[in-house]
Amino acid sequence: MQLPRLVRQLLHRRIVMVSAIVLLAIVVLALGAPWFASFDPNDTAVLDRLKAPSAAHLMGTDELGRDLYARIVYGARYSLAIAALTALGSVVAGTILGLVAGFFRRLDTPLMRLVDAMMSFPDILLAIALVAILGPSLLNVVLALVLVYTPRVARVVRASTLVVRELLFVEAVRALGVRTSRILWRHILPNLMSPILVQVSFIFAYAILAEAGLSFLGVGVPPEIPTWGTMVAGSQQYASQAIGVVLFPGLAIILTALSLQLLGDGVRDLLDPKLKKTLS
Amino acid sequence: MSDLSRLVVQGLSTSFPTEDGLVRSVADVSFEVAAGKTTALVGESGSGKSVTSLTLMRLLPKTANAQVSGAAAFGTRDGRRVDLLQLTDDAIRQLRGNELAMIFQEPMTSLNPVFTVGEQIAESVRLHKKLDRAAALAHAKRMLDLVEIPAAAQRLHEYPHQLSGGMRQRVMIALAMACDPTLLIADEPTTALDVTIQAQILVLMRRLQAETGMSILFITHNLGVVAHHADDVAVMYAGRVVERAQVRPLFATPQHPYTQGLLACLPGKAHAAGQERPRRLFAIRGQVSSPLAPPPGCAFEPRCDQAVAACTQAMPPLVTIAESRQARCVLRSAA
Repeated sequence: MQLPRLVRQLLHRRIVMVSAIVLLAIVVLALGAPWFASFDPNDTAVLDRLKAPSAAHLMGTDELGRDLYARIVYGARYSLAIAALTALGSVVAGTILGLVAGFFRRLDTPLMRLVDAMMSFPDILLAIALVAILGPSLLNVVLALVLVYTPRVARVVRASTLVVRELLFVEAVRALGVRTSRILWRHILPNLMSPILVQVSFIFAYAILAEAGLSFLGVGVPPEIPTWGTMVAGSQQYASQAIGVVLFPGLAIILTALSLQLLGDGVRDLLDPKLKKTLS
Repeated sequence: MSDLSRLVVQGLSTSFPTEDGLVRSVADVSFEVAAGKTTALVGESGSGKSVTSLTLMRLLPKTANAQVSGAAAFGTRDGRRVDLLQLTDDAIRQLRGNELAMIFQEPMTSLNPVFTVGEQIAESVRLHKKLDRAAALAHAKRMLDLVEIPAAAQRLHEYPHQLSGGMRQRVMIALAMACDPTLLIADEPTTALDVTIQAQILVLMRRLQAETGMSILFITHNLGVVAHHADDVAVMYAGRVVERAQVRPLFATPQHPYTQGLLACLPGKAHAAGQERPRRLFAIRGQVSSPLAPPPGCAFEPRCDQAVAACTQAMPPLVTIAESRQARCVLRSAA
């Protein structure tokens, strides 16, 4: 299916259209942060602490008098970057793992038992343990989340590989003298793009939530970096004085994660031929 | 071995270890494919036809742990004789798609759904002839023209799901023919197609054979197709060749009881012979014995109406009964 047609069909559903617009807006805000925010996210003004939303401070200020709106806009950069890197990393690692496990039958059992072992840990506990070992930093959070989400992708990709490898065209290209490595990358991988695409959007959403959760628990991104998670974590004790300090970053998290999930649902519905008929 | 044979298979056996014991899917199979001619391998489902072709192409999955013995001497384009079963993985891969090509039963699933047909044909050409992308695509268009696909230039950029079954089988043939192979293995190429398309595909294959001089190993269970398109025939039953002959003598005077039975099963046969029209169609009684527990003697003995005591003693050898005629039956003695 051609990409433009796919995108058009995807946006045909109103809820998916709205999610896409919200996400686009958030990405534009994050990329153009200096133009959209008039304050520096780390400028403190003790006299203006815990202010309610006003014309000067659209969302009010936090316990150090930092502009919440600026922090959310700049925080979007970090939150989105962490989620994007996590999605990219786990999809690349999971795809390689799943493809190899699904295609080479001898490697299937050892690789998948490893994946099972990793999946048997609760997500957030595994991530906490990993960050505790690696030490809190932006990169380590990404690394921990990649390790947490790689097994999910690996399972999905392996299952799809098992289906595709049995199709006759694989034998047909082998009969044409195509090398095994080329069969894997050129012929099988492109047939797995739809399940992989769906995983990307879901893991993106999970990663936003997981980063917020880790930061909230104090094992995530160092508190001086403004992510939506560190903002909620740092200001929670002041919530009774100015609800905005947790409300606005919380809303940003919900809005982004929800939009991503809805978009992911849309992509899945569109690419799953069994669901497609009931939709149209 | 004559210089005119493209492929000489001698004593080919393929066995698979299973939990219930060793299964001999192909046992002591010998046949020849002459240069520029068609040899048909005929047999019912499970008689070992497809395993034979996959063994020759070395396409059996490694995890099947197949045990293969025998020899398959293939005459390459540059005049060497190589044993397909002994070649290294790399050497056989270079022959595949280049000198040895194969087309499959299911045109619906034999093409990769995410690439255009042009890209798929071009891939093979780029691989074996080292052409660049533009030249390979131009070659792909010529191949589509060759297999008589209308509006080839446009079809080149279409995906498999946009083509009909007959069209896809033409694309598969174009794909197989792209590097001008000397031996084409066709594993029931027309089984999944309806009868009119079947006829078109067979005529096309014959035309291509006449133009290029390639040899064809035609695997089928359709005796009508064999009668029209084969030069030599090997009839297989339970993994063994039971009769080998040129096509005319085989149909005129079948020697093995199994071949006789098969021909008697054809609806038009008895009628055409001037006999009274039978009220019921003839059927060979019983069913194929399990490969795990083959009968001690001739594999066909339990179903054979002409069986004698000697049939249960040992598997009869394939004996030559006339020039280029062989049968595996105790009732036929060597000429």
